[in-house]
Amino acid sequence: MTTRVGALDGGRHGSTSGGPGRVLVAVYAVFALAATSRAAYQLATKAQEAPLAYSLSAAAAAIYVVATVSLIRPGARPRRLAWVTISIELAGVLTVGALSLVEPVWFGDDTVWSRFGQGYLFIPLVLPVLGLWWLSRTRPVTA
Amino acid sequence: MVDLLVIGVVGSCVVATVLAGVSALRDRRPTLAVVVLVALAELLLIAQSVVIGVVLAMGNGPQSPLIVVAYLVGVLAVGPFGLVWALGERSRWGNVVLVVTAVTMATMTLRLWDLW
Repeated sequence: MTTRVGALDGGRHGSTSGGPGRVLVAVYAVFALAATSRAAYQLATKAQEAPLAYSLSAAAAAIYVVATVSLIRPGARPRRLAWVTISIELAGVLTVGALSLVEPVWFGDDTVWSRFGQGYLFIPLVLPVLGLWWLSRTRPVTA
Repeated sequence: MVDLLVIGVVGSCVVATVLAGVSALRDRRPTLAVVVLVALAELLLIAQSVVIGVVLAMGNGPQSPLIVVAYLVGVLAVGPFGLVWALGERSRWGNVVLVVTAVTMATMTLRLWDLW
C-alpha cells in the first residue's frame, strides 16, 4: 500500500509535507499570506463597504492558515484537522464561486473565492481538490 | 522604487524558475545556481526596501503607503521561507518549491511596482 506513494518519491509514513506535499504546503502558505493580508487590509480600511465579502475573505484566510499548519504538522490530529478545513475550503469556493456568478450584488466586492478564484488563476478551485487527493493518497496504512 | 532593481528581481526569478523547472523535470535535486538566484533576488529586494523606506520617510511615494509596506514585508518573507522549505526536501520536489517561491516573489514585486 505504501509503494504507490513511494512512486511519487515522498509522503511516506503518512507524512503530508514530504515529496509533492512539500509543494502543496508551499502553495497553501502563499495563499495563507495573500488572503490574510488582503482580508486584514480590507477590514481595516473599508469594512463598511462590503461586509459580507470582507468577512468571507477573513474566513478564507483563516482556513488557509489552519490548512497550511495542519498539513505541516505530523500526526493523526493535524491530519483530521486538514481533512476538515480543506473540505470546508472546497465547499466555500464552490458555494461562493457559484453565488458570485448568480447573485454578484450580494457580495459588494470580490473575495478570494469569487468566480471560483478567477482572480487567482483558479488556483483556489484546484488547491482543495489537490489537498483532499493528497490526504487520501498519504493516508496511513493503519488508519 | 528603482526600476533597475525591479528588473533585477524579476529577471533572477524568471531564470531561477526556468532552471528549477528543467531540473525538476529531469528528476534532480535543487542546484546551487537556483539557490544563488533566489538569494540574489532577495538581496535586491532588501536594497529596494531601503529605497522605499527612505522615500516613504521623506513623505513621498504613493497615496496608500500601508498597502505598499504590507506587500514589502510579505515579499521579503517569501524568499527565506521558500529557500528553507525547498532545501528541506532533497528531491525534485525541492525544485518545484523553488519554482513556487520564485514565481511568487516575481508576481508580488510586479504588483508592488504597480502600486507604487
